[in-house]
Amino acid sequence: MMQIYTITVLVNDQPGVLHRVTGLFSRRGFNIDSMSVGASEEIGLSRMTIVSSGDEWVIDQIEKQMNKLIDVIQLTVER
Amino acid sequence: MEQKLMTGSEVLLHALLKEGTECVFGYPGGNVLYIYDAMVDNDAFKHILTRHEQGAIHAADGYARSTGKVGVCIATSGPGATNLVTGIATAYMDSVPLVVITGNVPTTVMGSDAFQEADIVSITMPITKHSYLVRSVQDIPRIVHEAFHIASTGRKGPVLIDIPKDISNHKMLYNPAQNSKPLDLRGYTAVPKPDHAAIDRLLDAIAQSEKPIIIAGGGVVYSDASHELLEFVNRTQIPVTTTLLGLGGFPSGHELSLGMLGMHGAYAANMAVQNADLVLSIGSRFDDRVTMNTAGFAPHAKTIAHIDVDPAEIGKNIKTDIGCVGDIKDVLQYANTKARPYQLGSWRAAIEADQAARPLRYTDSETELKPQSIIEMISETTNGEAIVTTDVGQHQMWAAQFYKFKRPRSIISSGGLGTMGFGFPSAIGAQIGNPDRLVVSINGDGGMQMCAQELAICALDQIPVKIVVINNQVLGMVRQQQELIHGNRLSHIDLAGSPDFVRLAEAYGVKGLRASTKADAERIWQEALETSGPVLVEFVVARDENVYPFVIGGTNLDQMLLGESE
Repeated sequence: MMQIYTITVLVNDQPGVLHRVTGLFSRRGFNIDSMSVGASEEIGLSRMTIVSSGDEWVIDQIEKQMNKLIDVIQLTVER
Repeated sequence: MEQKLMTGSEVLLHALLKEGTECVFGYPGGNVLYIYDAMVDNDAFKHILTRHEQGAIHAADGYARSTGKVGVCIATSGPGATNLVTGIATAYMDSVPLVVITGNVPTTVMGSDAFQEADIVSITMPITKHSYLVRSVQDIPRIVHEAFHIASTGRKGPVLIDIPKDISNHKMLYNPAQNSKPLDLRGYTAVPKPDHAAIDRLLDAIAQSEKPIIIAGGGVVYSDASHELLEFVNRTQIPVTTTLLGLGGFPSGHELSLGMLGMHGAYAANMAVQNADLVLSIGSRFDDRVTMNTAGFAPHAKTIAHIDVDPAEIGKNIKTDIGCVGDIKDVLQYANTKARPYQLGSWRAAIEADQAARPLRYTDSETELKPQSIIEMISETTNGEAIVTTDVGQHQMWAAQFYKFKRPRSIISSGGLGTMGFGFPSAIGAQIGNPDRLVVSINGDGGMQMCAQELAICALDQIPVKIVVINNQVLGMVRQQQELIHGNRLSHIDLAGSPDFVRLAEAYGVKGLRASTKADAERIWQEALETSGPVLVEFVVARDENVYPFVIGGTNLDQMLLGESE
């Protein structure tokens, strides 16, 4: 069943990190409904808030594939 | 030793040494001049100058797959870097640990479309496990240390380090004798600890099953778990089929070995999966060449179970009931403390009946040389003990079917990406990593021409690879698919006009031999085996031979075309 999810990701504030994340979404055919990126409370880390939609399989894959990115420090999904 | 002022390039070489690098495959150019300058008089590791960057990365890949160590290659910016792309994708798809070093234009002109500038970090982002653009010389020791760690742990893969030219010449204080600083990779868990409760559930499901089957994949080989798998199979008595990359991970001579499954898998192996009530994948990712139509895969399985180091593979391609994430060796070691047999009954007899009724076979000929017979001859004469690299196509499938692999890390083949041109250069890397083993490189006449230039380094360095060219004068796998799927509308598959391979080898200074009859084939192959240096052996074989069984894409694993034996 299609649902809307909010994914919050703490990432290393490195050049190219946005590309890594969005590239993963486009390569695997996942949706980005909206996205915002900004500094986090910890120096050197940025927070991305991504609203995505898909079924249970899609969100499971997004979570697992994102967690494989070395620059992803922490990821939470609001279901 | 004290800290010394060194260039980034000198630091890079010391850092590579600290990681145990024995050999680097590379090709110089303008933006790696400082790195190559630092290599002058460097005796610490070998550098093999290939004749194309693609040859360098495939050689590094063959080195890595055959030894289990990290393969290293270096290329310059722009075209040097982009020539590595196919090799990076090949390694990524098959989870091969590589550290790939590229030069880039100086940071001062980066982004200005400077001469030989290419954004290789972005280009390779979807095909690397991780990548670095070095922005400060001070980062080189840390980045190299991290790159080797990331490449060689967990689900292995290629890591790219892109070094701008000016950075490679900036100076820093460095102490080569000092240990690397501890890793600080917050976002990386190399190997998740196995969940014992999940493994217990798996063992219970096995004990209750009547028709279980194991699909053993490349993960078994990569985690050095073939001993543990053998023990697990001996304890549970479950028959084993392997993927292409899993060959050798389980001895093909074992009574419970069914050979390879999939598109060109053995009949009994494919049927066993389709009839099974429990399918256990160990280090195989349910690739589409293994499952074929996923909707019709293993229709009778009550339990699909999967052991894999990569959590993202669990349930990705096939809905999975029991997932055991962890290093396969760790998972099997724990499983072996409790493993017990399945409900032994008529299952094995049913599989053996399939094996007896439809073994892998071909019709031999008195007038033509059959490619399958060449593989059988190579298998018998090398006692299944050689390291065999293959290219991609029909000969690759025949090698998988008819070579009796006994040991892990014996088959070096591009499984996921299916890269033509891989077979020969990967053999060079495998031979350098295994100087005391016999390395046989099996190629078709198509793929041999995609990296033939590396004959030069075979001759120069006397790398004693036995290079086999199975020449049917056609792109055989494409011809087969055009014949069987496209109503025999043959389109652009004729390789007439290929060079005389024997004279091509001789032009590079490599001995060349040719046979087109069985008697000649045996004689020249024997001569090749007795040749101490490199030798190219061309077998001129029947043109229209097909690989069977053949499951056409989109159909189910048990809908096999069986050719003449049908």
